[in-house]
Amino acid sequence: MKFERRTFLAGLIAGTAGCSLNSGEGPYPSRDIDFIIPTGAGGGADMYARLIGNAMELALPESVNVIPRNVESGGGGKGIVQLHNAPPDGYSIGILNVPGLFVLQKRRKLPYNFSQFTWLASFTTGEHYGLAVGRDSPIRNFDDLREISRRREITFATTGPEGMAYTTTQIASQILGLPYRLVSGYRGSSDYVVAAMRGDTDAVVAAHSTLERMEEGGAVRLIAAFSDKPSSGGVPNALDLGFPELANLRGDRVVAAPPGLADDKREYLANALSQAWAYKPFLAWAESMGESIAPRMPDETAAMVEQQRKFIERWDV
Amino acid sequence: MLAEWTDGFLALLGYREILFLSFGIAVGIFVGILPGIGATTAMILLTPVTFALSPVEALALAAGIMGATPMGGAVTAILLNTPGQTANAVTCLDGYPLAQQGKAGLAIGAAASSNALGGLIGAFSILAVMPLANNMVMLFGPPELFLLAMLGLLLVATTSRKGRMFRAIIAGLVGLAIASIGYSDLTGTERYTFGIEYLWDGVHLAAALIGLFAVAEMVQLTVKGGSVANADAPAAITGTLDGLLASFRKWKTLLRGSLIGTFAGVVPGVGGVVASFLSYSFTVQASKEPETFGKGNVEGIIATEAAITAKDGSMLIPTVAFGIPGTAEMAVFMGILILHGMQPGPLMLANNREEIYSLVWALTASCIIASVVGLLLANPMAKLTRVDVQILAPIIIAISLVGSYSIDQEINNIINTIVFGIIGYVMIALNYPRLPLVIAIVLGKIAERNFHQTMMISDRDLSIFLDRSGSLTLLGLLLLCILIPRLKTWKRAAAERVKAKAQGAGA
Repeated sequence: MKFERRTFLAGLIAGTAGCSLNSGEGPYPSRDIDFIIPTGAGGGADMYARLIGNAMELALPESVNVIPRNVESGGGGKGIVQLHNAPPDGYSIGILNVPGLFVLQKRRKLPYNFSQFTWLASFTTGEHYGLAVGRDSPIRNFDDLREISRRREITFATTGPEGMAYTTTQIASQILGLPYRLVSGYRGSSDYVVAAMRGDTDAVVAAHSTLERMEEGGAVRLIAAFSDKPSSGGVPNALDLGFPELANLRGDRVVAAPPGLADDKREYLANALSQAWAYKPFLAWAESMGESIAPRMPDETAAMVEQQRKFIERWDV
Repeated sequence: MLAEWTDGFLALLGYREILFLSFGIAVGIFVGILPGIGATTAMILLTPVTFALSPVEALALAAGIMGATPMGGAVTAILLNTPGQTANAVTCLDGYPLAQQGKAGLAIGAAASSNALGGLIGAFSILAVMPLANNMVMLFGPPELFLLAMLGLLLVATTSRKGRMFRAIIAGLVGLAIASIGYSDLTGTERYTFGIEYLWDGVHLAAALIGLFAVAEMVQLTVKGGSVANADAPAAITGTLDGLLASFRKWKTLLRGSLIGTFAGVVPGVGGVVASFLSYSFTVQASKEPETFGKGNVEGIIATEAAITAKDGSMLIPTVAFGIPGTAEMAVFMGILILHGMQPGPLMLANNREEIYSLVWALTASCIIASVVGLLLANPMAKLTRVDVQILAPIIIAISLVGSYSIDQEINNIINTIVFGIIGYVMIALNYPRLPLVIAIVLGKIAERNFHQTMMISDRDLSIFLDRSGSLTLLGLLLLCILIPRLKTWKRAAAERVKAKAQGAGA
């Protein structure tokens, strides 16, 4: 019900605001909007962003397009820096992974200050993670894994240090109290989940929806879900495991603009972005990723980013 | 089973399905010809178009693009030494010398038939190899991928033309050095980036390739004058039929290439360049006339093109069967599947059989139709090889630079292309082969990453290479590749000694 009211209000605002914003340089927006996607073309994050871009166009004047631009370099760092340094004229926006944003800055000392971004909107509940082992692994459940961890370190397949999966695995291991060793350098989620399937490592921490899909494909066996919601197939969730804090471990996608964007343009863009909340292809995609719609306008988005930052800073990563 | 095959085929026969398949093929050939832009970009751009389509129409469009791109890439590789796609770099090796000799028709004919047949094998392997795919994915972990990269690097040296082995090794070493540029996601450190953001991910291979081949070739031609085809080459474009039939005559090469391509498609992490290069190298090794390769041997084209198209078909296997996209192209394709309510994995195999069979048919049709279109284009496009370079070079260089920029709308790609254009020209002038440089850039990254991961998995115990059947097999293959050329040399020397002795006795 809440969602419908928000959508209606957002549509109303977008409709009445139209393209009449005027800051002395003609009506805004009058040209295409550059949408920076700091991941490679293809894959879940890219499709998520492109669908938001498509939805956004519904609220823009016909002559204005949203042009998605993948800036993958440096684990996404280059795209984030480009967005941070872009002029705050309302023609550059980008989709950022939170808390990936903090992790990248911490590990690579990149020249941006995440607290200065202009937060515009976020859309879904965020991805929860899960813990899986290879289909043929002798580890049958989480108790088996804990038993092994009393004798030796547990090995996990993951990305390089700049990837969110690396940090997520570190934090999950620390919450669960598992001694761990990371086998890093895998390029993406399918790559490191397959590594666990092959037996390169004992286990893998990855997005729950990815693990579920690969479990259906017979590649892995899900042994823990980090959500606080009931999980299917008798897999223990964060509450069953006795570690409710695992539910705070999630990846959110947030659309932001460069620091210093004027309030009227921020509102205009946020309202245009709110089209995604009712855009059918986006809803279908979010559902397939196991996420539900959780609309957030600029202030709520900023609060969520701050909450994520505080959570990440508590851990030794 | 037969009914499902028929249903899958019939589902493609609606006018809309045929329309979108044809549109996909046209787009595929077009982006294949353009350097830099590939099937991945085309599918991303057309994904919003698929929203309004039925699942079969969307699959027909995607299959049209995927099946047709390699043929487009082969045409420019042969005629202008400009690989439309990265994997087509190997096609240049024998395709371009044939074009220079005025045998562009023969080369394009061979590319068309090997493309179509390789594509057929690749498409049908989706069904035939599916039960084995799981084992292949399981068999190839970091130790095996490291040894496969080592095998490739070894073949760089052993398959180089006589008298150029030393230069091939030098070019390969330079390639390995270039491969080390960028941010290492194993160690979290930057190497040789000199604070330049563009180099964080290393040298952009597609942009470098455009410089190394297209730009360098045009500069070289401009310096030399004339046209691509030598002045003494026959003016009429003939031999297309011979080229077409060559794939049937050299069926062993075709089959070998298709099998290597099929294997490379199933194993995540082995790309198209590696597939085409391995197929080419093994064909050279198996040939009784290895010295003719690189000078215009049609078998070089057959081996390469069959591997590329077979790989394009079989790489659907891990995507469809397990939901594991091995490449960016497959990640986009998987997105299209999910958008249309198909969840990759065994559920898709159970619930969407008709769509899968339609996909196989669409891919097959795309490969065959693209090959026919390639043949039709052969004559008019082969005339490009007769155009005076003063007219041709500015056009090709302009297209190359635009193509380089459009890979990811990055202005630095143009600088990259120009720098590698200069490197390529210097290599041509000094008679250094360029392919070893490309292969080493690709394999250097694979080798380094997988060696580090192997050491992390085994906790720095090298015996891991002897504990696994896959790595043991590859070690054996490595050993054979080192020994066979030696044995051949000894055998030849022994035969010459016997001959000399016999002549001495006769005198």
